[in-house]
Order: sequence, then structure tokens, then C-alpha cells
Amino acid sequence: MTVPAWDLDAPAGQDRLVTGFRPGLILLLAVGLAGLGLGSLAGSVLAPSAAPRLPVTATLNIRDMYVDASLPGPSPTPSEGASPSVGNQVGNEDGNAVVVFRLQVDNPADQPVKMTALLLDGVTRASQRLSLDVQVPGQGWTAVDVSVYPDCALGRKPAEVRAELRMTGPDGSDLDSVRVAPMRSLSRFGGLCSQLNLEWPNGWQTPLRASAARPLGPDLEVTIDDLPGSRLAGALVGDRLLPTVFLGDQLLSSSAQLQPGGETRLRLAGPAPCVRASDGTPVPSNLRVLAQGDRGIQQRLVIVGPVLTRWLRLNCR
Amino acid sequence: MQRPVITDLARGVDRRLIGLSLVGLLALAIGYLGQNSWGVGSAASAATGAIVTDVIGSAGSRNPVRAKVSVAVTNRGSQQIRVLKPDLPGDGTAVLSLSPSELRVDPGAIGRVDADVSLRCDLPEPLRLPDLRMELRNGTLWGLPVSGSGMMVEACSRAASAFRPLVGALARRPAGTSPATGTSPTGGERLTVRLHSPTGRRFDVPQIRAGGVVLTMSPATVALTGKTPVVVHLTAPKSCPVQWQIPGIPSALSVDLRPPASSRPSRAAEFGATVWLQLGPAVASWLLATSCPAPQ
Repeated sequence: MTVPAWDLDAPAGQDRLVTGFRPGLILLLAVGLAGLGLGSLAGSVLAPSAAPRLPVTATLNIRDMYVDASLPGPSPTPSEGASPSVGNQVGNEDGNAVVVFRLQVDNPADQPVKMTALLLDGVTRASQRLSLDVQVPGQGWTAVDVSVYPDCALGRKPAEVRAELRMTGPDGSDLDSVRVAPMRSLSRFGGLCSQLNLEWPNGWQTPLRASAARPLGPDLEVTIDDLPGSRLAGALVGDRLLPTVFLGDQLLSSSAQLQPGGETRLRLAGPAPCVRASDGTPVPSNLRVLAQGDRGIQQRLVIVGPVLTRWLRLNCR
Repeated sequence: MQRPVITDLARGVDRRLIGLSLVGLLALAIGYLGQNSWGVGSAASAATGAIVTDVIGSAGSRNPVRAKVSVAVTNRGSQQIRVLKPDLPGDGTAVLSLSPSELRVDPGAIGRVDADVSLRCDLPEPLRLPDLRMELRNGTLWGLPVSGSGMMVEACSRAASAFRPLVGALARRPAGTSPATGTSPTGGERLTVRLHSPTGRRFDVPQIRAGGVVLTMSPATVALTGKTPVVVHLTAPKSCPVQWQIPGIPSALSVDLRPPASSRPSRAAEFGATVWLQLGPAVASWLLATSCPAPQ
């Protein structure tokens, strides 16, 4: 038989009818819990809410980006849909891009924190974990640069960049990870590779490298060893071709000489075009040609180098 | 005389009631004082941060300078929050409008809001955005500090030169040298640039780069302390860097700015900024001559 805990009129000793059963204790607990609940409720209504905590915040921006031609050469097995490798093509189908991110972290707390790792999604097909060992002082901020090698192969689906920061406290204990807020262009659809496509000339993923370039009077002769799988688009007159060559947005007057299975010589007619170097835009050191390839006419980027930059006229009238 | 039974019972009941009342009062007090810690019955427990991610626009000559500043709001709390335009101006800044005008951020999410901001770039003091207003679910309003205000100096660097944080000019060429370069005593060619802040803004220049390549500076760190010009000598890389292959030869320099060492740590000038210094075709000519010379 059980006795209700609220039965205060029960005869003395009644509460010990069942061994170990103490209605008084239960009553005590019930009153205690009710008090806690009522107190909390009163506190939330009457007392001001606690100030929100200010967590560590971080942002990720693109600091620099470039193509590193010294990275491993063309992939032995090109990805599906990609054009076949060519003789003097630079890099592989991933584009060999190198992007330097600047990570800026703000720590509003009094205690310092240590960044131990940056987790990145959307830069390559798989998630990346970059180890860090950087201290962020209390009530301070820190900036750190990290280099990544994005996968911008032509067939890759665009992906936005997501980042997360792992940290430890002053005593070495793990803290909650922090979601990093990337700059807008990284967060939108297309992510990092769209930004590279926007910044760099078409065809940057699979550029060709000129084997030689030399001024010939007012002209510039550019030699490309071979263009396997590609043919320059244009009118063929005898063995002379009038290809379509762009320097920046300018269409150049040019001619080309082809040797079957051999080198291609592009002759860019002088006087050299004038380029503006006063608005901060870099002075081109490469050309784009329209070439007939396996996938129709496409732009190919040809890295010529400083010889081309020197040939150009800067800020002429 | 025999004590009545009813008196004993009443005493027992009295003791129990007093004990229970004490326990109840104690629990009430604990609940009242501790509700914020464990969140029982509380609408708060918000943990929210805001940070500047992008600074866009601002070209033009009007003062104050107008710019668009993107702010990411990270909600690590347990309730949805509402972010609203600040009521008050910040240090040298004022938020004119937000887009969207009211941002709702769910728990665990990052929300983004664009602020149309006016900036007093002509003042020497560090720029600082005012706190945004954050409304909790129970209607409580709190200020939400925005980190990374220092990046707004980048907007000033795109405005008219009188409002820029940093202006550079090539130093007068020594006799017999090209317009862009000065010849150092060691015979190596260096670019000599005179830097100054037209607005008297104070900061350090820890690094100057060309097309993503760090240029050696002499002195290694430049401290700009107002409008007084400072001369810095730049040495280009010894060979043509891979960074310039695709974009081309740089014609502008990027300069890192950070709050002066004496003011750190400073909540008012958080984060450094990177601004562009355009010195005309001389930069490209200098880099071509020194780093990427024609083969002999």
C-alpha cells in the first residue's frame, strides 16, 4: 500500500509502512523543484536577460592567386569531358591554381585562444584540413595567410566555400569550433573557381607556353612548338594562316605559319598595341588564340612572357 | 497532566511546514538567481558575432565617402535573432541603411547583410562601425559589435586622393637614372617611393607586394605617423616570379596597413587593410627591367 505524500494527517509511523519509502522526502523534493521552477520563471520575467556572449568571429578573403606551372604536369588520365593533353601544355586539367587566403580572426574574450586547424569545403572535391598553430590574443585579432590548391577542372561542379576553425583555450582544452564567414564571392554559387575565371583570361586552366618569342622589326614572332589536337582558326592562304589572336580585349593583326607535326609561328604585326598601365591593371604577358579543337572553336591561352610585355607600348597617346 | 494528542500533531505539522517553506524559499532564490546560467525559463542564451567580410565601392570625391560594407552575422545561440540598423553613429561612420532592412538569423546559421555606410575618411581617427541592434525572441534589444572595421579604410583608398589613407609618389630620380628607379650605393636598382597619409591617419606598413610577390622594403616596417612623408626603398625579386605568368606584369603595388604598434591591441582599429598604390607605368617598367630583364 502506498500513502500519498501530501497526506499530512496520516498517523505517526504511517510513513514507514513500506521499507525505504519516505513521503516526507518526496514532498521536500517536490517543493524544492517547484521553487526552482517558480524562481526561474520569476527571474526570466523580472530580471534583465543576460547579455549575449560575443564569440570568436573570423572571415576568409582571397589575398593572392596565381597559376604555378611548376606543379605536376598533365594528368596521365584526363577527366571525363576534358580535352586531351597536349605537348607543351602547362600544368594539368585542375588548372594548377594557387590561392592564398587571408584568415582574420577576432577574439573579443579576455583570454587568448589558439587556432589549431582550418577545415575547408568547396576548394577541392574532398574536404581539407589545414593545421594551424596561431595564437589570438584576448581582446585582439590576428591575420594568417594559408595557401590552397583549388580543383578547378573544367568538369567540376561549382561549389561555395565553407570554412570552420578549430581552437583550443589557454589550458589546451578544445573549444567550440567557429564557422568562418568567407567573403561574398566565395559564398555564392560557383565559389572560388568562378572567381578565378572572372579574374583570369579564358583558358587559364590549360594554357600553352610559347617556346620562343623575338621581336622582328616592329613585329613580334611567337613560336609554339606544336598544337596537337588543335588547329588555329582562320583563313588559310597557302601555308599562311590568318589566325584570331587577342591581347587583352584587343584583336591583333597577325599571321601564322604551320609546319605539319612541327612548330607554329605566330607573327604579330607591329606597331605594338598600346596598353594602359595607369589604372592598376597588370600589363599582359600572354595571348589568346582561337583554335579549332575536339570541342569546336575555343580560346587557348598562350604564355609568352616578358618579351611580349616589352613589345607592347605603355600608356602611349 | 496528559498532553493532548492534537497539540503534538500540530507541532509536527508546524515543523514540517516551516521546513518545507524554507526549502521552497531557498529553491525559489536559487531558481531566480541562477536562471540565466542554466537557461530555465530564459529567452536569452544568445551567442552572436558580426564581422565585416567585404568593402565595396566608394569611388568618387564626395565627403563623407559612401561605401557598401558586407557584414556576416553568425548565430551560435539557441534562438533566432533579428538584426536591425544601428540607432547611433560609430566612430567616423554612420550606417545609412541595411539591406535587407531586417535580417533574421536562425540558430547555427550565418546571415549576411549589406550596410550602406558613410565614412569620414578625412579624419585621422580609426574608423569603427556602430553596434548593430540585435533583438532576441523575447523582444530584448542588445548591441551587436561588428569586428573588422579596419577594413573600411580600403573604401577610403578608392576615394579622391585627399581622403585616401595612403598616397605614394616616386621619389625624384637621381641624375643619370631612369624616371622610375634610383640607384642604390650597392649598384642594385631599387624603386624609391615616398609615402604619406593626406588625412594624417596613423598606421604601420608591414608589407608591400607586387602581383602577390613580397618586395623587400628598406626600412623593413614603415610607420606613418601623420602627414609627414616617409621614404621607402623597394627591391624587386631577383627573377621573374611565377605569380606574374598568367595575370601579367603588375603595374600597381598592394600595401598592407595595420594599426600602429603603439595602439595594439585596439578594439577600435581591428584588422589590417590592404590598399592599392598606383604609380603609373613606372612600376611595370621597373619590374620588367629588374626582375624580368631581356636575355643578353
